[in-house]
Order: sequence, then structure tokens, then C-alpha cells
Amino acid sequence: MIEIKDVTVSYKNHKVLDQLSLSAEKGEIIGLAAPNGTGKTTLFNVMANYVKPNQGSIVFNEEYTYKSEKDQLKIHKQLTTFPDQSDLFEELSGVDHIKLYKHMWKGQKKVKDITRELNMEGYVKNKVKTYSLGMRQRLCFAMMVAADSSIMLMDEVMNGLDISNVSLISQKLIEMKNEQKLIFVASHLLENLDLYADRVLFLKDGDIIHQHRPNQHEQTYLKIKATPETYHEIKQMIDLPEDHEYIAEHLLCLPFSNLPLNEQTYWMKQLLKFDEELSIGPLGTLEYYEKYYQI
Amino acid sequence: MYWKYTLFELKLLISNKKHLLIGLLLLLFFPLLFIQQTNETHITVKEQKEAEKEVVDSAIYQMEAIQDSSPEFQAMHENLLQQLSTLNMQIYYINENRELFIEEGYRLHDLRLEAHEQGNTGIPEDNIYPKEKVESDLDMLSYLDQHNLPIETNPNTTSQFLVTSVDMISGLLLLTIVLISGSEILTMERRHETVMSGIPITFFKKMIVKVKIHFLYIMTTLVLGLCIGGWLANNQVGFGSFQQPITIYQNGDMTIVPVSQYLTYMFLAIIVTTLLILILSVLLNLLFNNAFVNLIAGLGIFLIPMLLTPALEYVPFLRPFTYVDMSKVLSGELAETLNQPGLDYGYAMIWLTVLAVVTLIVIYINQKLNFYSLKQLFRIEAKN
Repeated sequence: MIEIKDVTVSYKNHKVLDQLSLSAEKGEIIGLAAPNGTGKTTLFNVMANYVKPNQGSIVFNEEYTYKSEKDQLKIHKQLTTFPDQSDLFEELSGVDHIKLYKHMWKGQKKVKDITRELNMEGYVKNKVKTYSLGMRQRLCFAMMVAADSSIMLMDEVMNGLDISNVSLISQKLIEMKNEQKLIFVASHLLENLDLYADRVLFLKDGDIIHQHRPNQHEQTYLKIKATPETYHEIKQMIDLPEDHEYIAEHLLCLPFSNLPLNEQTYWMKQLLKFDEELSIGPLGTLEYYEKYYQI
Repeated sequence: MYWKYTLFELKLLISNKKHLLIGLLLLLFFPLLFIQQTNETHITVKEQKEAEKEVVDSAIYQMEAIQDSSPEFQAMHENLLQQLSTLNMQIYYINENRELFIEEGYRLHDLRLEAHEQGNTGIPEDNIYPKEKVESDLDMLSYLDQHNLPIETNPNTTSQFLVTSVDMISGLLLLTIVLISGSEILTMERRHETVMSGIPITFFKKMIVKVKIHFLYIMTTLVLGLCIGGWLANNQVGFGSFQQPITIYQNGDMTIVPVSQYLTYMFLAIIVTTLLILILSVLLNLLFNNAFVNLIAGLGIFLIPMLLTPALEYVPFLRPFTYVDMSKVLSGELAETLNQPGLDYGYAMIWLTVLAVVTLIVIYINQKLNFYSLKQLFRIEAKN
């Protein structure tokens, strides 16, 4: 559905994206996890042709690239980008914004249904200038739902939302995925990404350094909290397997699922000496994030 | 989709306080102008005739001081005495007898023409009645005669007030209003970039919608303002007649046209000028991406040639920018200042249209260049 080929974007001598390649198909939610300034927004801007790459191309449906305004129009009919809440029109109502996106992308969903599902009925007819941050964010999301396009780029979709609204939007994202939408989500709510993302991409130095699939656990780990001193002590006392992970100087993870039962028991007994709290499970987005960005 | 987008843009425009103020200004401008006009003193036909009489009187006085006995001089002296008598009769008949006033007017024309044919011998240069004026006076008189119109008209009747109004609004005032209105025609969208930039409509369609909405808004408020002013004039003074004559410069000569035709000409000019300035605003927005710069640059483009009008004889490429002041084109004032006899209404309208088309072509090329890298194009050419 969308293929990003060797995209490079640089400003002066700084490469924001460096020969980044990626392909994605419909019915997928792709999360983007990276600290600020690592190129998430730039990648979205390149995908929507708001920023022209110095090199590389974006191909939609194996057919269209941004080579002419005609092609851009065909792509934009299938693609929406998440509006920034500061860009909303203060003097217009929420309904005006939702209707704009519904009519421009010929969305099939009814405005009334969208506002009801997103609990916006109480304020959606008021002018945007009266909205709180959370209300604005829900409006931006409602605009995307109304557009109903097949590709959606959502940057910082959960910003300013409380827990119940994060849950509501997450549920809605899953529904949209089931409607065969291709959704890119950049979010700092890392554990939340695990709920709905099929893949989480970690960007570093302008490229994707790791793709994490939260729902396809190839490996589970035995996890124990360990300060650097404890980690050092453990290493002196036990020969840790080579493929163990010590993440962000607080979490020791040993590969667990591929070990025979007796070895699993052995490692559990060994580690219990250092902490009574052990956990077993795959590495989540948060743990990978800590691993790659050394928090 | 196009229609829905138009409605959205209209909603945006109406919800913008700047446009509300522009609308209010246009609605209030004409009633206020009417109030100001009613306080102005206007030269009546009687006063005009008195002034003409004084000029003839002075010429006679100066000629009598010379004491030339040549037959040509004496004939001219006699001619002026008859002109003086005719003018006196006209002054007498103004409010008494319209037909006799006109009859005396024809006689006065014949005398003035005769004086020109005889070379105005002995008449001081400052006192010679210009031949073009003699011709246009005859046209005016014939027109009044043929259409059975009154000699004296109140300049504050609806028909005359509308002429004053369109003359007043055309030129610098209209230019400034449209430039202020269009100063954010694109930059406003850029301030809401993440909401607007992905909308699947081509740039040209978007531009057409924006220009159309601004144009309709300005025209609607302008016409409403004129209607309010006209209604006020009708209530206070009277409706007047749209058949009243008005002199315009056309095909190198002064021509008489009815007020209705003059107003049609001016409306068409206002329409073309408004469209030109809105399209220019789009281009300036694209180039500078700043509402204030748009206003300053737009004013500069038209104001500098207007200020330099006397010098434009030597800078012909700047002349078309002065044509937006259509009342000066129609009065022939601009043709005279620029020493350009061919500059009449048709010529100016063609030039304004050409300017609008050229601006559109520049916008088109600018947009096309967004999708082509010149560097890449040159590289490909170099490789070939």
C-alpha cells in the first residue's frame, strides 16, 4: 500500500532521515517510538509531501508518487494527516471541522455517530476557542475518523488526553484497523502502543534501528530489577548468557522461552537470590525504548 | 466537494473580524459620503454661466482698451458682444424657460465656433473658449434637448450620487480595501497548515474558491453600501435620472453618455480591478508568505506608478498600473497626463485584463515548479 524507498532528508549537514526504507500494508497500525527530534514528524511530512526528501521516493499502491500535482491529489484523497490542535480554527465549531474533513475525503461515517462515539456531543457545536486541550485533541481525532481515508498519519495522537480518553481512542484505532485502514501512530505513550500497534518502529540516526511486533512474541525474558551495583554483583557470581539484556541500568532480562525447563528453573532460582520479584514476559515497547535511547 | 469547500471558505471569511470590518466600512462609506456631499457647495448652471459671462466681459473690456479699427477686430468685438447678450439670456431663462435656454445655447455655440473660425482675433489668450469645450458643450446641449432632460440637476439625487460614489471608490480606495481583504488569502491557511494542507483539492481550485469568495464578499457589501447611499439620496433629494448626460473620453475625443452607461462602465472596471488585485494578492502571498508584506508590496506596485504619473511618459511599462483609477481614465485626465491619446476605457480594460492573465500565468509556473527540481532538470540536460 505504501512504500518508502531510501528516503533522505537533511538540513544543512544534519541528516534527519538517512536512506530510510519501509513498506506497510492496509489493516496495519504502525507505531513510531523515538525521542523528540529524531525524525518522526519529518517522516510523516515526507509521506504527505509537506517536506520534499533530498533523495528517495514514496510509492502509493505501487502506482503513485509525488511527481505531479495530479498524482499528489490522488494520494491525498487516500491519506489524511492528524491536525495539530493549535491549527484549529478558533472561531469555528467542532462540527464545522468534522464536516470539512468528512466532505473533503467523502467519508462515509455520520457526524452524529462520530461525536457520540467519542463523547463529544456536549461541546462539539461550540466554538473551538472554548475547548480544553483534551477536547481539541478528541476533535482532531474525530476529524480523522470523519475523513475515513485508507491511510492515516497520526502524530502525537494521545497528547493532552486523560486515561479514559486514551482508552477510548485506542479502542477506536483498533476498530479502524479492523476496517482495513493503514494507520501510522507516533506517540510517547509507549505501553499504550503495545495495545494496538502491529509494529513499533524505533528511529535513531535517521533510520529504523528496530521493529518491535508487540503481538508476535518470538522471545520471552526473565526480568529482574537491578541497579548497576547489583548487576555487577550478579555478573561476578553467575555466568550470564551472552544474549542477556541490561536495560537502562535498572532491568536485567535473560532470554527465557527457548531454554529447557531445568535451565529455566535454574535461572529463576539464581535470580531470586537477588530480588524476590521476578517477572516473565516479552520485552515491551517501553523496554525497547529504554534500551535504544538509554534513559 | 467543491461546493462544500466553498461554503467552508465562506464561513471562515465571515467569521474573520477583519472581513467584518471591511464589510462594515463598505456599508457605511456611501451613506457617510452622502452626508458629506450634501454639505458641499456645488456650482450651479447659473453660476457657471455667470463665470462664462465674466470671461467674455473681461475679453470685451481688454479689446476696447486696444482700439483696433480693423474689420476682423471689430467683427470679433461684435461677436463677443453677442456672446455676452446670449449668456445673459441663458441666465435669465435657466429657471424660466428650458426651450429658450437651449435655443440660446445653440446660438452661443454658433458664435463661439464662428470666433474660432475667424481665429479669435484680438481676444486675449486666457479668454479664448477652447474649441474642444465648444464641441462637448454642443453635444451636452443636444443630448439634453433630444432626451427632454432638465437643465439643472441636483448632484445629490440618487443617479448623480452613484456617479460620485463610484468615482470616489475606484482607484486607490478600492485598491487598498481589496489588498487588505486579500492580504491573508493564502497565509491564513498556512497559519492552520496541518488542518488545511492535506485537503485533496488542486491549488488552482482552492485559489478560485478563495478569489471567488473574497470577490463576492467585497462586491456584495459594496453594492449594498451603494444601495443604502442611493436610498438615502432618494429619500433626501430625489431619484434623478439615469438618462442624465455625462462626458467621457473615448476614441481620442470627449463623448456624451447617459449616467446608466457610465455606471455600467465603472462597475465593470471595479469588477476587473478587484479580480486583478485579488489574483495579485495570491501571487504576493505565495512569494512573501506574509500579510503585511503583501499589503505593502501591493500598495507599492500601484501607488508608485500613480505618484510618478507625470514621469510615466518615459517609463511606459509602469503605465498600466495607473489604469486602476478608472474615473481618471473615463474623464480623459490620465490620457492627458500620460500624453497617451489612445488611453480610453476599452484600452485600460484590456490592459487590466492582460495584467490579471499574466499574474495567473506566473502563479501557474510557480506552482508547477513545486514539483520539479530545477537542479535535477539541469542535471538531466547536462547528462544528455
